Amino acid sequence: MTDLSSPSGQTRPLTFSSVTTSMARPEKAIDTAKVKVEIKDLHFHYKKFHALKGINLPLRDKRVTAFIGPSGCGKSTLLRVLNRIYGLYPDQVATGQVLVDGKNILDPGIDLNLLRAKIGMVFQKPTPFPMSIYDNVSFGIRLYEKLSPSDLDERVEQALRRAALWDEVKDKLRQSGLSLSGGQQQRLCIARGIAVKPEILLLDEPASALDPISTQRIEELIAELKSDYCIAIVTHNMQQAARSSDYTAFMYLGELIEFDETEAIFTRPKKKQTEDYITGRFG
Amino acid sequence: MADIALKETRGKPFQNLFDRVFHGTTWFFAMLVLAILGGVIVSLLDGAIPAFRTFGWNFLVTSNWNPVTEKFGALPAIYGTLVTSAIAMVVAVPIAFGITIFITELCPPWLKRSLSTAIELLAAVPSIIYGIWGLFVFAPFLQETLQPLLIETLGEIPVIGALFDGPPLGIGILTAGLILAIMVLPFISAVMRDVFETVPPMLKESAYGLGCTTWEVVWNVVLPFTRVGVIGAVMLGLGRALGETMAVTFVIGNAHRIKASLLAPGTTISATLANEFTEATGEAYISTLFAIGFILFVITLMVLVVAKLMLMRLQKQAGN
Repeated sequence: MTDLSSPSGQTRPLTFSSVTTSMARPEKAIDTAKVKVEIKDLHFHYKKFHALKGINLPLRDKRVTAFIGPSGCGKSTLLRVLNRIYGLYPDQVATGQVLVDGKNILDPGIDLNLLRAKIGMVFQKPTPFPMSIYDNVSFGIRLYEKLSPSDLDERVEQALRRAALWDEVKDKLRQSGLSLSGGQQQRLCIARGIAVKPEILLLDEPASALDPISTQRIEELIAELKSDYCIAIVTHNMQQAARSSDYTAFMYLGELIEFDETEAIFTRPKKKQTEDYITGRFG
Repeated sequence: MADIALKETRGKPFQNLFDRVFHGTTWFFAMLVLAILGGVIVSLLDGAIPAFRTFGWNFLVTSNWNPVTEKFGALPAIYGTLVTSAIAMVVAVPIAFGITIFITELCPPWLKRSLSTAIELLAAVPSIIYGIWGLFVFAPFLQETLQPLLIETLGEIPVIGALFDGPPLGIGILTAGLILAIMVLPFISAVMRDVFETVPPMLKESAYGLGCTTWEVVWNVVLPFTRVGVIGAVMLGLGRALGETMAVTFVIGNAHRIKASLLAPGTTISATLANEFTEATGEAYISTLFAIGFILFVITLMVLVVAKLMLMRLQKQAGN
């Protein structure tokens, strides 16, 4: 049953080792990228359910941090704390500290609209607004900036180019955003998110509803956007985490089990649970 | 065809029979509705024909209302029906919109249910109660407060001033419109609330995630997403306002005259019918009442058709 004749004799799936070699940074020095978000002793309650139990985690600027773990482990919840979107629901409460550039965003006095303008979010399913492609992208910009029509055009084009969607939609900017395919819609949502020039991008399983080709494009996009943003991505797909992230946090039942450089997590996990999960023994 | 399929899949003869009876019964009731509707139209038209014959097209554009000489014109009633309904819509739609935003987006959970129930209870108040309340409480109140204020302020402005001219009588077109607004409010806000709640939470979250305020989310995302349902809600309210009888009859003043002023008494089709069916003795008089009833029916039908056409156009635009 098991292929014992495997020449390499390695215990982990081949994909990971091939990925990690390409992932390895030239020097193994300490990462000098600044810590953009510092999560300290974060607890989250969902009515009576204790969904996050004392999370401590840094997110570095210009790096991709992946949150992995089985369903219900709290990874999406953690992401939803970072732009306080959970606050729309009165029965959800977060305690602890989340420092963005040293400022605690869980502080009740914080200006939520400004915070959210600084933090872009892309959801599992594409959520284009019921308006034209152009308006979908320009909508967020117009909320916070007064630009001349030509400047606005430029910003929209820029965002669509960065989201690798420009060539496909440049001739139909006035058409409804809903007329695009699923993969295009998701890239439109990414364009919408980056058009407002946020500092942090939160991606909640951005490719889970997409076909493999669209998924690949989104992953290329993440790699491309990394040079400008601090990116946090929730994913069910471990290859995706391995391919596209610099750091990986493995979560289980509301706790952060292990956090390390992605290469380390996938090649020499320190905890048994992490190893079991990434090798597919549970989850 | 359905019967054949049933025979093949259902072996037991009893089940088969039961299903046939069930089919037949549901068909019967569905057809019964159509038959009643058709019957109403036919009898209305049949009763109205003598009046239409006698007065011709002038019936629609003259304001005579003389039961003694049996000269009738439907214009004041048509005018009153349309204007009171328009006032009701202008007042009720923004308020219903505000209530709906509060309930769906801003309301703390402990208040949500009781507030929704209270608004629905407005719809449970019988219209005769609104009529009595309107005549003895609301109209005198307006006579002392809102109407003098309108006369002194808007009444002084040229052109618009004509709408708020004359003495504050309490009863009149404006009062009827405001009563109608209160009456249709719960219907509009209940339907609006239901359609607002169909917006996917993720869509709203993405708008909030961009840094939108609640107003921006509602105006730019929720409303465009639900416009079909919202128009439906408004049309439902309009349909009720056009046909509402008792409350309007109490407060409108029942005068077959068209005055520019909204403060003047007037009448509506339904108020005319309610007031005059007992006195209608002459054949032409009765036929006239049938005729204005038929006109009301046509107006309501037109509202429905216009609503459908608007929705179709919106859907076409959205589909592009």
